[in-house]
Amino acid sequence: MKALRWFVLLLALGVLQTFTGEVWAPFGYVDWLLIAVVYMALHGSFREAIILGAVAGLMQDGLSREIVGLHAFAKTSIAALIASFGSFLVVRGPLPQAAVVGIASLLESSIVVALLVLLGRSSSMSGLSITGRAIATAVATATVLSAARWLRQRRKRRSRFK
Amino acid sequence: MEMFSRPAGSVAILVGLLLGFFILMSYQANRAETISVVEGTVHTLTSPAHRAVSAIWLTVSGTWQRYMGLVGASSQSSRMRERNAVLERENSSLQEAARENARLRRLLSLRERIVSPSLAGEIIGRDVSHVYQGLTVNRGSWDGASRNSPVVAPNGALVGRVVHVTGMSSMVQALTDPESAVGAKVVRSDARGVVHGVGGPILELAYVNSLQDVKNGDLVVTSGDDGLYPAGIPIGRVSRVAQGSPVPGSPPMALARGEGALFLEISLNPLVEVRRVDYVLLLSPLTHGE
Repeated sequence: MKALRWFVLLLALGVLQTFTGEVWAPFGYVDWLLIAVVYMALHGSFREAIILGAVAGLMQDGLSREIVGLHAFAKTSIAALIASFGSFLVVRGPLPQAAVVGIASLLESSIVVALLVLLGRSSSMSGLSITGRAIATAVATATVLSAARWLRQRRKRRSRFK
Repeated sequence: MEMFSRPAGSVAILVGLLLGFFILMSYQANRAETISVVEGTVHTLTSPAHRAVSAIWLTVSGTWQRYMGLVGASSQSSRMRERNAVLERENSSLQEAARENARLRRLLSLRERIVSPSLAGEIIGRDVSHVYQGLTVNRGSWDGASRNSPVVAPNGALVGRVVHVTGMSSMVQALTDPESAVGAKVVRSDARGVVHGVGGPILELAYVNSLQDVKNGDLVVTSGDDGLYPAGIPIGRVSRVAQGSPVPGSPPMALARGEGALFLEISLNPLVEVRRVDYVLLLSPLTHGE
């Protein structure tokens, strides 16, 4: 059931990722799937993180074009890396988690570019777009996590007064 | 490292996944036209959601526009405000309908001009990876869309071609994609070459002999030589012409021969801005190569 919930969430995030750029171009730089992967890597188990990373990456490759496995490889690697380090680094609060997501985005883009070079393919990713993507994803993470924390605290306060 | 204290099963899964993905990538790297099961499945799963989100967005943006109209009118008298709100709402809807109508009319008139069978479609998504430049159209094999269909904008200019088709949607490789290549010619002088994307908004016309006559502002259209696109579809206008560098190791178009270069370096401004395309026409493909 939990797996199905995560799968539906990833599908929704995949659709969100293709669509947000239509609303406002900078939104298109936000990697919503990566946010979910990093969140799972920080809060879930190692195995859950790498499987989620693989599924999210495959979904992104499916929604993208050509070379299936490119983002799957990158996101699985990122999930494994963060799940490994996350277990002895305590990362709590929206801003530190957003920073981790930003770094993860930079790493993921670097892995993707490196794989493309390795496979002899061209890429339209520039240093500017990689940085912009990392910043946009980090800002989106901070916003979403802050909103979630605010909602949790509000609910807690209300339940205390009841 | 913490990784080494992980259960062997988890590490084995990780290694297996990474190895599997790497083999999958290597397999596809040598086959540019691979249609993957993963892509097909993901597109089939997400197409209904794409359509739904697209419809919701149109409703929300329409409502938002109407709301903004109401806010603007709030400084006037209550009677005028009520009246204004109604007019704003009607105006907003009519404007949107008129814009939609104009777009569809252009598309329809283009469709009538084009002899080959065609299919009108709406863009419902853009490439999420930023690695390639692709578009998702709300027409799939169930609507009659097929692979290698040339895709044109309402103004008749070439947008790209369909590279993947699923039941309810199709993926279009944009003209500006670095992996895109189109046989093209300069209308005025009939100089022939290959138009390819460079990742940005500009295109390049490569392999045009340096003895050919090409000037700024020349219109470039498809030549039909590649067997993928019918001849005569407008692509763009020449924005820069230079002699290719004779230095060995330069880009492929600048091969050295004697003192000069063999080919010209030509940049084009595409006639259509891929990011701004909302509606497209899918033409009947010349080939159905799989």
